[in-house]
Amino acid sequence: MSGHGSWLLACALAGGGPGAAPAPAEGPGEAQGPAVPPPRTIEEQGPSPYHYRKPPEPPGAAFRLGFGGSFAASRGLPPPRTRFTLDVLLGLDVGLARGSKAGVLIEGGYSYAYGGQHFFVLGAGPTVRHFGPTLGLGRRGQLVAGLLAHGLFGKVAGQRAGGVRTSVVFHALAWMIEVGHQYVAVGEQSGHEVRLTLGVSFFELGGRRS
Amino acid sequence: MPRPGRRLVGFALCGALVGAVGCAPRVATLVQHKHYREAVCAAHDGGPTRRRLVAGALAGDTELYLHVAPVERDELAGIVGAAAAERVLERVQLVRITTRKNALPLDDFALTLTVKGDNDAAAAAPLGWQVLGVATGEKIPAQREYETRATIGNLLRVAGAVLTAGASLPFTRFKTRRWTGDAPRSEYERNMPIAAAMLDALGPVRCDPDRLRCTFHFVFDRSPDARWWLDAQATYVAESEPAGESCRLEHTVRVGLGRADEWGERFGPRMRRSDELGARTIATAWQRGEP
Repeated sequence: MSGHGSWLLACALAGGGPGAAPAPAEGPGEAQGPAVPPPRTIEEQGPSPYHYRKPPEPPGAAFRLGFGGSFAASRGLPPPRTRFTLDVLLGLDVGLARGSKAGVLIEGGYSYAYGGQHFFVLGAGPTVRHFGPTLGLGRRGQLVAGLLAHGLFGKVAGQRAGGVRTSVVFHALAWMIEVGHQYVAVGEQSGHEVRLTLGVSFFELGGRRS
Repeated sequence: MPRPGRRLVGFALCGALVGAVGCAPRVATLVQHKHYREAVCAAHDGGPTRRRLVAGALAGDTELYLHVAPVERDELAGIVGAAAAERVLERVQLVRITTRKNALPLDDFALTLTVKGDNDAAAAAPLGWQVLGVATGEKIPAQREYETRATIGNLLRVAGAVLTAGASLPFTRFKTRRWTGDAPRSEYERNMPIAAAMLDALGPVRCDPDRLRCTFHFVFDRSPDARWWLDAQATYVAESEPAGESCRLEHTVRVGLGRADEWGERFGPRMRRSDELGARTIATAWQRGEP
C-alpha cells in the first residue's frame, strides 16, 4: 500500500474538510488510554517577580536633520539678528528600565547658522518615550519628547565661539520639531538666541531582538 | 565625615536610581522557584545559556508521557460496522497516540504532534476528512464556488449613495466577491458516512477538561517495514507587555517509535516517559511579540 503514503502526506499538507483539524492540537473532549501516573501541578514558590514580561528597552539610534531659524533676543551678538539654521545630529537613545517611558538621549553633530556660525554640538537629556497614539505601528505610542542640554564649540564669523543650548524636542514618526534657547559667547561679545527647527528624524526606540 | 543630611540625600538619590532602573531577577532563581512566565521572557531576551537552562527546566517539569497503539479491528467495527472496519484497516492503519503532561504555571501550554516515516512511501496524518477519504474510499465532496455581495466595498458604495441622495448610483458598480471553499459539513456527512462516524467517535484529538491527558488519532500508511518518528512540539506561552503580546518557546522533541509491530512490546499496557523512549531535542524556537 505504499501508494497511500504520498496520498496521506498530500492530505496532511492540504488539511481539509469542514471542521477538520489542520494539525493535531489539543482541544476539549474526553481522553482515554493506558495507565500512567497522574499529572502533577507544578506551582510557583512564592509570588512571581514581574520584570522580564515588561518590554525590553535595548539602546536605539536617533538621527535628525533640521532646518529652521534663530532669532537674537539681545543685541550682544554679531549681525544678522535672524539666521537660517541647519542641524545634523546623531544620537543614542537609552531606555532607563523595562516597560518604562523614561529614557535618556545623548546626541552630537554639526550645527550651522547663516552668518558663519559653525558649531560642534554635544548634548544629553531626559526623554519620555512611547507615548501618544500608536499611529497604526505596533502597540506602543509613537511619540518621543526630550529636554536636552547641549554644549556648543566652534566659530562665529571666523572667531572662536562657545555656548550652551537648551531644547525641547518632539519626534513623531519621521518628523521632529525643536524649540530652543541658545547662549553664545564670541570673543568679548555674547548674547541669547531663540531657535525653532523643523525637520526629518529617525528615532529607533530600542529595536526588538528576535 | 559626611553630615547626616548629606547622607540622607545620598540614600535618596541611590533609591531613586534603583527605583527607576529596577533590578533584574536572576534567571536561575526564577527557574528554581518555578516562575516560568518570567523565565520564558527572560530566556527569550537572554543568551544561549539562559535559553538552555529554561528550556531544560520546562521540558523536565513537563514530564511528557506517551503511548502508541493501533486502534483494534473490534473497536473500529463497533463504530462503523464490521465490513467497513475491514475495508478501512486493509487500506490504512488507525493509530491512537496518548499523551500526558504536567500542569505548569504558564498562560498557555499546548502540545502538537507530527508523525513521520523513514521513507517517502510511509506517511501519517491526523484524522480528518481528506485522509479518511483515502482510508474509507468514500468520495470527498468537491470544493465549491461561493459568492457574496456583502463586502466592505459595497457597504461604502451604499453609504456613498445615501450621502449623495442617490446621485452616485449611476456611477456605482456593486461588486461580487467569489472564492473557492470546502463544501458544507452536511454534504461531507452525506457523502462520507463512515468517515463522519469515525470523526464523531474518535476525533483528531480528545483531551481531559484540564488538557493534561490527550488522545490523538492518526491515519498511518500501512507499511510494515517503515520505522516511525514522532515529533512532539510543546508550546510554552507567557503573556507579556504591551497587552496582546507574549513570550513563546516552542520546544520539539523527537521520539523513535520503531516499526508498527514493535509497539506492543515497546509500550505495553502503560505510558512511557519520553526520555525513557530516548526522546531528543530537535528544535527550540523563541518568539516575543504578537502571536
